[in-house]
Amino acid sequence: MSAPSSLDLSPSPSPAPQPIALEVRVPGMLRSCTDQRGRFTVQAATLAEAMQVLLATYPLLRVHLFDEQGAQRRHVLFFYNDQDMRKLPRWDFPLRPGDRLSVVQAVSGGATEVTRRV
Amino acid sequence: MRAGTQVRLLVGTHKGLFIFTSDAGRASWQMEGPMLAGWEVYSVLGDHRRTPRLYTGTSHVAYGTTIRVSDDFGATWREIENGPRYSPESGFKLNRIWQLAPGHPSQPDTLYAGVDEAGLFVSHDRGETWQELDALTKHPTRPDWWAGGGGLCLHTILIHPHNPQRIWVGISAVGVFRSDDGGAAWQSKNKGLLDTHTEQPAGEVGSCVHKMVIDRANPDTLYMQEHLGVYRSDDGGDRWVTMEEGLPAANLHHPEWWAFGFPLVQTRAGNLFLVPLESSEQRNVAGGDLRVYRRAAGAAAWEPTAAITPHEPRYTSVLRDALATDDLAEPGVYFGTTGGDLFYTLDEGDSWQRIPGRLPRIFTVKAWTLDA
Repeated sequence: MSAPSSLDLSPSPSPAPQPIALEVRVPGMLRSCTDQRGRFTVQAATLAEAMQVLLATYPLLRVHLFDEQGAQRRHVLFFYNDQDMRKLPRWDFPLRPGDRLSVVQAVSGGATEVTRRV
Repeated sequence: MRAGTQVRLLVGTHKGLFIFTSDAGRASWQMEGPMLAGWEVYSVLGDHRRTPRLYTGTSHVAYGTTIRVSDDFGATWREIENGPRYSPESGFKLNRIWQLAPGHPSQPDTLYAGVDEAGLFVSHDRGETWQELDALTKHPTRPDWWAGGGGLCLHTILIHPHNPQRIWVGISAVGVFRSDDGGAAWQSKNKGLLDTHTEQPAGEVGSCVHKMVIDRANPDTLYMQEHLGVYRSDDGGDRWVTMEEGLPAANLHHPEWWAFGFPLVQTRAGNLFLVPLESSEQRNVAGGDLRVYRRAAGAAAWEPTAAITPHEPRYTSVLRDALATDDLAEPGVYFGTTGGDLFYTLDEGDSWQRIPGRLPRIFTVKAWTLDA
């Protein structure tokens, strides 16, 4: 299966998973869209729902993350924990306590933490 | 001019907006900024037809483009949620907002936005919501539109001062369009212009307007800095003729070097100003001599204005929206360079002064005059 080519907000399968407080991180350039907060939580049961809640809570984010056709902008990355969400086959899986959703500017900064290769 | 008059220079750069404020004497300037740090500010407008409001067109290579407004002279900013946006069906992308222009004085809530990919948007509620005037992008010539070096950008919007239904727009490297019904229909207005060297076949479009202004005394007269020359039209754009006498290109022994440049402005006194560049290929001032040229009202030729002191090589350029004038009785002329310097004259170019500071690459300069 290929990664979602556009915003995939498909419903989660039953039985309905329980919502958790998912930590979300956004880069500094976009904090004007999130009440100046770089780290916060959204209540969601699945990753797809988390993205939906994120955009509903902070609608100004949408234009910065997705283009006119609804496709993820080329230089914007979403990470589910350490996984590039473009490479996930679907987003409607249950979240687990401690999960994290990070919005990152590709290549040229925006990340608050980096991983050093060892 | 009343006591308490303030002039604000609104300077949009590659990395944010800077505002320089002075009193009517304009002898010293106080800088604020960078505001909207990190964002490209390709367009800025100070509008006081209602209460004073600043508008900016901000963009970023990763995060797209939006309009932001400030009602407190830049202290705080608010992003517009329902800004210009092409429909998914159009297939067009909104890459940058190149120009923000006020509507006719009789329509104080109206603004226009010119964008890349080329198109025109209008707001009738002081910028809160925007609609595309899509007759332009549905023009029969649209398949032949070709991007210039800066992109396929609609960068100039002119409103006839006595007829709000008459609108001109300039698009690189496409040409001029005019509407006589408020944007419901458009006609190309490129007769007399040369065909730019795009890869498209010669036709009614394919001229690369860089900047256009309306004559302050006679709004049927337009002036244009184009990719291949400097022009005027005395019939609202129906026909263009060259007006290059005295420009340095005429003195060069290189027939492929045209009277190339980007910005153009006219002061209240009717004097025109532009900044010739060496060539389309090099796009810097010739020999490092940053020199503004003036065509005095009614004069038969352009002439160089005073040299900028101290004399030093300045291999730089002035972009199409980075030359401006204010509304004072003794108007100032201001420009910003790609090297981040700001210069101005208060005597129509007989002397130039530099505003201290070096900014990021300057895209746009606007002078906003307000009575306290």
